[in-house]
Amino acid sequence: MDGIKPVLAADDNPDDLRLLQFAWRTANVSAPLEVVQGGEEIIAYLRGADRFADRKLHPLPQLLLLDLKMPRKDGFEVLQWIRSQPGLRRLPVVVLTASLHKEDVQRAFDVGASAFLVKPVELQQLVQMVKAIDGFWMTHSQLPNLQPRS
Amino acid sequence: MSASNVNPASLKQSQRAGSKISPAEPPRVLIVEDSATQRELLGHILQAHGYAVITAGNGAQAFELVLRTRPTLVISDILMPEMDGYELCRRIKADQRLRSTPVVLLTALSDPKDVIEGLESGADNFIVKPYEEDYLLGRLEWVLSNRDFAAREDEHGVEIVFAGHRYFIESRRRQILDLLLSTYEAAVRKNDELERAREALKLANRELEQRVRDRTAKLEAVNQSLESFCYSIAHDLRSPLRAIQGYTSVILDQYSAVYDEEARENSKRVMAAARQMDQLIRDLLAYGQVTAAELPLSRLSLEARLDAVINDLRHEIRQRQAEIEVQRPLPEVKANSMVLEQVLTNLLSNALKFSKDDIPPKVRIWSALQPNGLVRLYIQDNGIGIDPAYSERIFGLFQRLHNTSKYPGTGVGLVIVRKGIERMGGHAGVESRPGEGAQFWIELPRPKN
Repeated sequence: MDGIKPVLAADDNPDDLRLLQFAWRTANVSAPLEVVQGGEEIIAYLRGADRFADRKLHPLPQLLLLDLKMPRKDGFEVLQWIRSQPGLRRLPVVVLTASLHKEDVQRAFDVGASAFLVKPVELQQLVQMVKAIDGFWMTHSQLPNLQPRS
Repeated sequence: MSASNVNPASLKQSQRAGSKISPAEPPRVLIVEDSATQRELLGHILQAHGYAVITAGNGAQAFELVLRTRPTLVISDILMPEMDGYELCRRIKADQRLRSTPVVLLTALSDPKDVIEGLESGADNFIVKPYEEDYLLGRLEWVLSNRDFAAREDEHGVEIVFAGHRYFIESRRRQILDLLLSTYEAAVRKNDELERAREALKLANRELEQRVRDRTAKLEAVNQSLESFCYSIAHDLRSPLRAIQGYTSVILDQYSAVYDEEARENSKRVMAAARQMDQLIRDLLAYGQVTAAELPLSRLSLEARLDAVINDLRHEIRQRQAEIEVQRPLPEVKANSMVLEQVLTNLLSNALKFSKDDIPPKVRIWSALQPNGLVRLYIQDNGIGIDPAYSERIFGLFQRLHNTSKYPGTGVGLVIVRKGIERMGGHAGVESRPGEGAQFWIELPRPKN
């Protein structure tokens, strides 16, 4: 992984994750993409718990792509938890959801989303979206240090 | 005909012709009432109908005034400090000089005993509280027109004018009293029955209202769960579509060298069908939201909502090199913001979509206040236009005039426009000719101040 921090994507739908990985390769993004299924897994990953205990294998991500509608722990709950953790609260979180509810946009920003994207049906558009994410977050943005007091 | 059937209105009417009120010298009425408000109110009514009014706050004060001013008539409340209405009446009737002055008692008359006490004190008539103006005035005219006969009462009988007719009643006083009291008792009983019936009715009405409230709450709950059910279905239906579209696209990409022309074409058709179905699901979801039970309306700036929609469509506007011209300012309307934005989005995307080949869309938007008080918003384009023969049909569900290859769509957009606007108390329509662009309009109510 040569020091480039990964982008972590969380989604309960394996097809969406698989297609995102395809789009990631097609878009030639230099940051690696780590995927986890569901809200509980993402919290385990971020805490470095269970099978994610090795930070060399599973380093903290520079960006999180978060689905909203997930069983047991949904995206809103995950976001709230992230914003309550001193070592994670600055982590940029891009909501990537199939939601068509306008209220979900307000709610997501209320609990600390950094951006809100709607999953396109067309793979070509998803590739475009991944390129835009790469350009904006990984190329042009200054990303925060997650450590508190620094 | 029993006394309880006396209709004050008809009484008043028939008495008017022979009214004793002379314009030169209005009857002077002494109002005796301890409540200042009641005194004012009664005085106001009488003055407005040509009576001269004198007032007193209790019986003692009133008796002084009767002696000094000799009013044409006295109207007195019963319960008062110092001297009550019965005592005042008794004193007036006991005085040789004053006894011909008619005294009318204001009473609730809830008990036949009130009648006896009134008669005993020598009162000439009652006015039942609370009174209506017509009844009050009718009663006074009745008393004034019978005043002269009162003096002529003798042992042979009583002369009386009722409903425009003159009667001479020879019954003995005891008979008259018996008759009146029994009639009155019957009336009180009847009234009690009516009162009970009214209570029962009120109770039934309350129960009914409660049942309506319960039913409404249940319906709202059902609607709510139906709404979230629809939303979940839409959400879950769309995710396999992403897989269908996505994997087909991946296969097409990776095997394009192996695929022949037909396989490529078929893959593209799978992808197009998935796309179309996705749009259909989105549109039906929007349609479901517009027809939802709860549609709270509030004061909205039409201009701000329109600007938000133009901003949402900025990508498409740029892509089609469209020009949007809004005549500002636009007024405020009373609407639901979600539905209004949906309606404006549909109208504006139609204006962009149905453009002529090689001519970039030009959209003009302006508003006008209608004679019916509604705000009308026009959205005019320079596109392909609509045959007037179809100007109503296009607002129907799944109605389309063109095939999807040239103008993609699902035939739901304009239904949302019409249904949404109608649910907010407005109208929607179109004026157009083929080849000359379309001019859609929506009308919405204005907010109250």
